[in-house]
Amino acid sequence: MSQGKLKPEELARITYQPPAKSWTDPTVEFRKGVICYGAVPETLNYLDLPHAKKWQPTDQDWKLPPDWKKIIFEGMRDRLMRFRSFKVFMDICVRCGACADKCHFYIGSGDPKNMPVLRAELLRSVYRRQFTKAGKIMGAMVGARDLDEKVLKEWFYYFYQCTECRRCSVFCPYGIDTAEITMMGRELLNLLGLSIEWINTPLANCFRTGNHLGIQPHGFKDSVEFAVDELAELTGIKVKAPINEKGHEILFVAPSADYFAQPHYFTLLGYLALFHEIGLDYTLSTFASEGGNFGLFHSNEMMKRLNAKIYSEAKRLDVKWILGGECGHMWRVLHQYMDTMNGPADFLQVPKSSLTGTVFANAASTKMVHISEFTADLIRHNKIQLDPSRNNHWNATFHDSCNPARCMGLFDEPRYVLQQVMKNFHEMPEDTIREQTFCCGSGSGLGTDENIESRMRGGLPRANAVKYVRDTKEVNLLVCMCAIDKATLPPLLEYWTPGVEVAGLHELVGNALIMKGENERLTDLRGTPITKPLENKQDAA
Amino acid sequence: MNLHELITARRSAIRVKWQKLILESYPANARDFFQNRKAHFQNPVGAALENQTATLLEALCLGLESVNDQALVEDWIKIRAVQNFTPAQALNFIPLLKLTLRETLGSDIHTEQLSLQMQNLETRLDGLLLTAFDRYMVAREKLYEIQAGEWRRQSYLALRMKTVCNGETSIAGEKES
Ligand code: SF4
Ligand code: SF4
Repeated sequence: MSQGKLKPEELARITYQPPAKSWTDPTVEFRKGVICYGAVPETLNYLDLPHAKKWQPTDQDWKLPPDWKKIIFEGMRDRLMRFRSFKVFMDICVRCGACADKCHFYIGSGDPKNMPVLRAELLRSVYRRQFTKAGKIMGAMVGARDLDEKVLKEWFYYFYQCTECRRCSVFCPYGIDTAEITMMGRELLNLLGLSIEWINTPLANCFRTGNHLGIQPHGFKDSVEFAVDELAELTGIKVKAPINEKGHEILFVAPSADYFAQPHYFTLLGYLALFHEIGLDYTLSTFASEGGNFGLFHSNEMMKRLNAKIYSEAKRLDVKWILGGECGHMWRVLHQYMDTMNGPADFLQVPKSSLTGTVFANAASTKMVHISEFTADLIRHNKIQLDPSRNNHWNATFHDSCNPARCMGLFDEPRYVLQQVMKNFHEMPEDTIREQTFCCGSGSGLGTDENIESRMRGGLPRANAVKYVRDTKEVNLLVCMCAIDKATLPPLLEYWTPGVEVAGLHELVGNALIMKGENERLTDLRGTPITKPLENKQDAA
Repeated sequence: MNLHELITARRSAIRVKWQKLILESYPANARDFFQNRKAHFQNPVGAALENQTATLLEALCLGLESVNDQALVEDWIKIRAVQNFTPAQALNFIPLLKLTLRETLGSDIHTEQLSLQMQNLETRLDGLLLTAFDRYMVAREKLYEIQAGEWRRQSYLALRMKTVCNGETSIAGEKES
């Protein structure tokens, strides 16, 4: 029947239905608003990465080298040998479906290939075909697929629609971590020069200057001095912030966004105020001027290359241990990989707070402590004076950033600190926080503007829980401990939950901190007058 | 029986059928998930569908006149606006309601008075469709605004880096960020 013969309502119904497709059909449509730009040749060349070319995912022709399949298969073989987890994850999934509805991208879009089990199956089907007897003989009957250009494009589409947040892994009875499968998928694509610009430019910057923003040493120094001056204006106290000085007890490493971006910068002011007040013996480093590591979103080798500077600077500057700031993915690298990649750091000592005597035995191996643990310990031992009423204009909830939560189990320390530095705090629903926390939808190098639509739907489950506490508890602030969150949650909330702002934990610490000899604080660290006290509200729990 | 009473009496059948039609725009697994996974925070799309269809039908039963059209479509439109749909697909839930009403109540609309009421209702739903279109445009414009805001943030960052690193003390554009 031709469409001309349809009644209007029938026509409406027909245009409404997408064509029914089997999951094995790899065709994907690269739409604007959904996909990130391809990496440019300059950055790939700078990083000595292969097959650099001018290319966009929306192009028909991906300019693949003639032997591209061989490159992928060899790459897969090599990784199956080197990474036992990859081999195990390829073999043991029983398709129980426990992970299926746990991914924020699936929850927000309904696209079945965003179910973690199917995302992994995109790679696994090719693995079966190429590397298992059953797949070689029985093919599609056992879920095996041949690799072709469409499959390759499908990999790119879906491996850059996974934020490597690991939520799915919490629910898998076998502990399969789809984030690691995504990492392998991205590594394989890299072999053909297929990566995204938003990851590769920060990588190239970081390789050149030590930080993603490409700030050179003198610029880093100027930015710290600028912050010191601004803090002096706000508090009346000129703090010291040593840079590249040898022989201090501690090397402090934060994400570079803290030095420039908003609202990150207010967290930097918080760190500086705190360190001054407790007389911390520390130095910053212009080379280890980035805690974040976009190498994690690219490849094992790149992550190792960029991470090496942290121990190397700790050694050069002759410190005893390392303190790390509010970054998310940085902690996945530091906590889970640094020790084996670039350690053991035998030249460092097991971290011990000289103020409280607490030994951070959890960091005995990496020698690196998370600032929320450090600050929680200070407060526990009454080492700082706090005036929580200075945060009375905020009514906060806490977003567990994926990596500190699921890669470190850091749940209670930030909450403890938060509840000491402010009075108005409310949790989001329990199935959306702690280890079950929902991703911002923009992690793992996807926090750029060209894929904004995809970010909004990926972030829907997070924003929806924020909306709930906004509407029921009048929450107006979302606190988090991650530089990517601080950049990507504000636009997410602007779309779904207007009226809620985003701040770092140590911004609130800095607001509440009573500094010896300070001027009367008339504003918070943002320069907002402290004038609108809310009624004190706190969850009973 | 007038049309409102008729709709009220058949409300749950209308709702089930209408939701089913709306869900046809999603792949099969997602239909089950959106419809059957009841936990609100684990399934915000399903929850919005449930909520929005319920309030809209409720409004129909009451006669639609006294309600705020925007609130009837807002949540659902915001979701549809970021789910890869064309504008027509995103807004189709209102034509689908008309279709559902006609298919469910068609055989009961046998008096002139009822058919007149039905015509009025359909005109009213056309008005709602226009409101929905407005809200869809607002949502899409918001997306572009956010995208532009991201560019602004990036250039602000570059500017701030440049200014701070040159030792200047005031930062042009700071208020904007
Ligand atoms: S790691 Fe996160 S984004 Fe990736 S599949 Fe699992 S839940 Fe989805
Ligand atoms: S939960 Fe684990 S075993 Fe079950 S389908 Fe998902 S990845 Fe496979």
